[in-house]
Amino acid sequence: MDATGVDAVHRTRPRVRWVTWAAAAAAMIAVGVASTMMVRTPPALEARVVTTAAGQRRIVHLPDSTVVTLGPESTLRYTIGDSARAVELDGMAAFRVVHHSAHPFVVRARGAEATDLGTEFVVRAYSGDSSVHVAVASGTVALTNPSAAAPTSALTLRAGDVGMVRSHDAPVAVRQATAATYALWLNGSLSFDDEPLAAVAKELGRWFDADIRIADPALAKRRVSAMYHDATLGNVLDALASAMHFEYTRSGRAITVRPRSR
Amino acid sequence: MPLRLHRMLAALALAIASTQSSAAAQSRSPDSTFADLSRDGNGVAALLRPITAGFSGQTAEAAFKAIAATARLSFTLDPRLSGMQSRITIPSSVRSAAVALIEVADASNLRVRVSPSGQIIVVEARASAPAARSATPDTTRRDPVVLAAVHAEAERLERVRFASRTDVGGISITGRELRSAPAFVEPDVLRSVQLMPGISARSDYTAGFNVRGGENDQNLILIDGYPIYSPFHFGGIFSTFIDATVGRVELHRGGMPVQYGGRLSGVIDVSPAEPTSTGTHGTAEVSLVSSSASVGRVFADGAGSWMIAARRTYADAIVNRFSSDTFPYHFQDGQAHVARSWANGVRMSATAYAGADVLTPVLNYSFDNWWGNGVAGVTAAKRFDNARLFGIRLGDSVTIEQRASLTRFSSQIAIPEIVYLATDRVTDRRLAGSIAAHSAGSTRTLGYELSFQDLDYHSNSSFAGLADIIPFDSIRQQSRASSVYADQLWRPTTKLLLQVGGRVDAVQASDWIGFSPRVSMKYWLDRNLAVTAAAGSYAQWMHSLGREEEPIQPIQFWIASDSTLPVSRSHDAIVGVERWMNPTRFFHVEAFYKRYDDLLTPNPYNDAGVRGDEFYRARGASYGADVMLRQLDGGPFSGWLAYTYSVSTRERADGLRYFPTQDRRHNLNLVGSWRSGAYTLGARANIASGLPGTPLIGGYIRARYDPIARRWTPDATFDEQVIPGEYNSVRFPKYSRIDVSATRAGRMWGASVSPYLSVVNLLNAHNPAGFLYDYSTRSNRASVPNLPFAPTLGVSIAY
Repeated sequence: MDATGVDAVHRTRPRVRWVTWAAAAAAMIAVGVASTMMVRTPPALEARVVTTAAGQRRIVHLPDSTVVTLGPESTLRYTIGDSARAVELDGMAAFRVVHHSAHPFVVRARGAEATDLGTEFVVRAYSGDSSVHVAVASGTVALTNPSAAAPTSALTLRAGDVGMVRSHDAPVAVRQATAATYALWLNGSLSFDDEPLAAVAKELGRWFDADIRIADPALAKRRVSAMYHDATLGNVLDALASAMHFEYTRSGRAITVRPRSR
Repeated sequence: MPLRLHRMLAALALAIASTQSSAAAQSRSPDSTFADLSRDGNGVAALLRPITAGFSGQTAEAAFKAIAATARLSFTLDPRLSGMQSRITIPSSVRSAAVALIEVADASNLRVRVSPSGQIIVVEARASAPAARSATPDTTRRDPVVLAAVHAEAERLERVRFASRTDVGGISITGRELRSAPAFVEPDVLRSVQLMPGISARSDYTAGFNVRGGENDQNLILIDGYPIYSPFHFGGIFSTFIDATVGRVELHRGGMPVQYGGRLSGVIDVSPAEPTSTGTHGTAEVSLVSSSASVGRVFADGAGSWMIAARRTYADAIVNRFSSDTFPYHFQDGQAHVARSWANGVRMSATAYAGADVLTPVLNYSFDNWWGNGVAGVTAAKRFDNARLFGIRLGDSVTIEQRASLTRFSSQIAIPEIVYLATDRVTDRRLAGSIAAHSAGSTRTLGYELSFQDLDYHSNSSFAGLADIIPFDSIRQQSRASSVYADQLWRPTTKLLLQVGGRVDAVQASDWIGFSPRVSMKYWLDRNLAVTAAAGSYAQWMHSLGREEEPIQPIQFWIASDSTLPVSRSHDAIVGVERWMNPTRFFHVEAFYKRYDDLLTPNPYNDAGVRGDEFYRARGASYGADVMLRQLDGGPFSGWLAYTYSVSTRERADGLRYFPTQDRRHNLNLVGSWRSGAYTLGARANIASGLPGTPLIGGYIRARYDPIARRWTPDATFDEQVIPGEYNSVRFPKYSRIDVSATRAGRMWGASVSPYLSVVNLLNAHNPAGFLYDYSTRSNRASVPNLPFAPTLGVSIAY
């Protein structure tokens, strides 16, 4: 083989291949860029926790456009990037859910599961409460208790219905309650229906960031029905004191309630 | 229910702020900040909120909660209080939240207290009396007791209406407030109504009135919702409404709701007073010319009440007893009203009225003269909660009402000596009913009205001058009218209230069917300020033969539209503003425009033998504005300022254009009542521009030529002939008048005794009501005066 000729041939061939490969690479880069622009890379999952203290409320906008209004002393956990659309709640919150039939929205609260079927609803699940309550303002909610002792079917709640779940029991509907009562707090109202003064005091402390102590056990057991709209803690305590015949002392957050001395 | 997610923030911030502030650590028992709830809502606006509340066997606790929830009130109660589980029954009606709470508290022996911030608490009825009371009543004291706020509930209903009704052109006023104006001889509803904005009267001698430029026969006058045709005594100086029977007066000066038909300009509906306290109570009123008395009581534990009242003038009896002369006139009337509600939502009421004016023979005349009204009506209503029809829910509650009434007006004036006989009989039978469905923010009403009128009018005489006030004619008619109406009141937003409806009337004798749409709205710019607007069409098929220009119209004589007399129409548009300065003071201003078609104005030259010439056809317009600044009753001062600017024009079919007699351009009324201790002082000042009138520019005497004596001699068969100038081309002088009154409240034999002195036209202003022309000797014009300086005395007794 003529070394020069061979060399000449060899010098020519690599040049052609380089252009071809460069064109192919450019095309692949272009396709890659285009495909990258057209197809997003799935983001990494990211857990989020939103917490409110006593006297606080927060409005949380979830990635799927669901709006959650979180009541005081409540915690909401959810995951960014989770297509399952599930949140965990400890406390109280109102949900306005954008419905996706393929991806139902699930609220897990102390064992109970409320599955949205396109709705607005309120969940009350404070750890100190004996049960979880779900009140539906509009649409439909399927309420289940996966931790029930026996397998149970879902309780379907429609607008105006209130459902309740106790620790290991099947969910039940609360006939004597109205859903509107559970949503009053969203408009600045608090409602108490024949509840012990101790429970009222606890709830007021939660809403007004106060530490209310009732010095007399008998007084703590007395029942109260009340409703307050846009009231201050001072207004509420004055009304309670006059209606229930007690007196109170207040020092910063600390409020002590006792029977009247006379 | 939408979950509104942002409204709490401001309140919450306040709440949080309140908890951050350091407070003195001292014991606090804030009873002193709470006061017993009164019917005026203790100045808390939310307590004046109108609500529809009714209870049938619910517990007091549930009732309190329902009222609080409806009116969005903050409340606190102890459900274990005795009385809280009492079962109560209270008929459903619209009232303020304060009144509803008090009714529930009264029914359950509980007490409602309220703080300045509007917090409501419910306590035992005597849990904390506001002040220690003497165990032994002080029976030695005989100081007068002035109960200033007895009617506070009704008075504050103006605020309730402001919040719940479009109410364009409407005025609601209690009999008590109307009574506060100084009165001529005795309090009179229709005379007091003349002091309202948009209202004026032709003269002091008529209780009739003109509404926003309309003729005075264009007003529908109702007694408890039943029509009354000629509601006057003594030639129009007194109305047929006995003062003690007047509970509340609803006045519509335009923008009339669909349930009112048959008149073009105004509606006045006088609701009877209903006793509210236990025991038998009564009143007596003795004035210079008449005495009246009423008695009433509640029964069935407050579920029912009745009242009867009667009145008679006694000038004839006094004159006849102490003088050889005779006073040939008296009038008398009586009224009864009963109402009863049942726990199942049924309410029935009945009202009856009868009155007569009697002119007895005097001198050499053999009179046989009387005229009077009779009204009897019954209403049955039932409320259904959560009513359904064919499975469709109609509303939170549905009220079905049925009314039936019989109204008669009869008169006979017979003076054989001047060959005069006039008779007039109007019989009106009426059936009406409605169904109203109430739900949150909406009320839908569907109703009907069937009216049957028999009319028989005859008047003629050889004495032509009488035709001015009692037109000569002979007419017998039957009129049948059928009407249906529908209406919806709803609140599209919290700031906007809309009322849209329509009424279809069919008048058989005229072969006429017409549609009258009615629309009104109110838009609240803020809690105390609203703009209003209304437009509507109206029809009238009953017309008075009375001539507007006559200063005295003793009786209205009615005839109906038929093939020769068209149904009159009017169309109005109103815009206004209403502003509340505080819970008891407000003003409103309204501008109006009203157009009339096929208006009928009496023809003074009508031929008694020719049918159909009783009226001229005319068209016209009225426009203007009126203002009212009003201080409601309940405090030491109450009263109102009313000013009206109005322009009216008419054009007859024969081409004559003129300003009608009621075209009063400016009219200002100031009415005030001051309470101080046992004394109440009242005053009314009125200044108004003059009314149009027709001058007489000359006169002549018809003469007959005597061919024997060969000279002209006056013809005795003719009166003096006058030459009138252009119709209504001049104006009477302006009108001004100041009235004052003083009343002292006292007690005597356990009854409230209140003597009063009232002085009409204190300054004796000369206000001509008309002119008399005399051309018999020298040309002479003498004025016919309105009321001169006239003090009157009386005493009111209540027990």
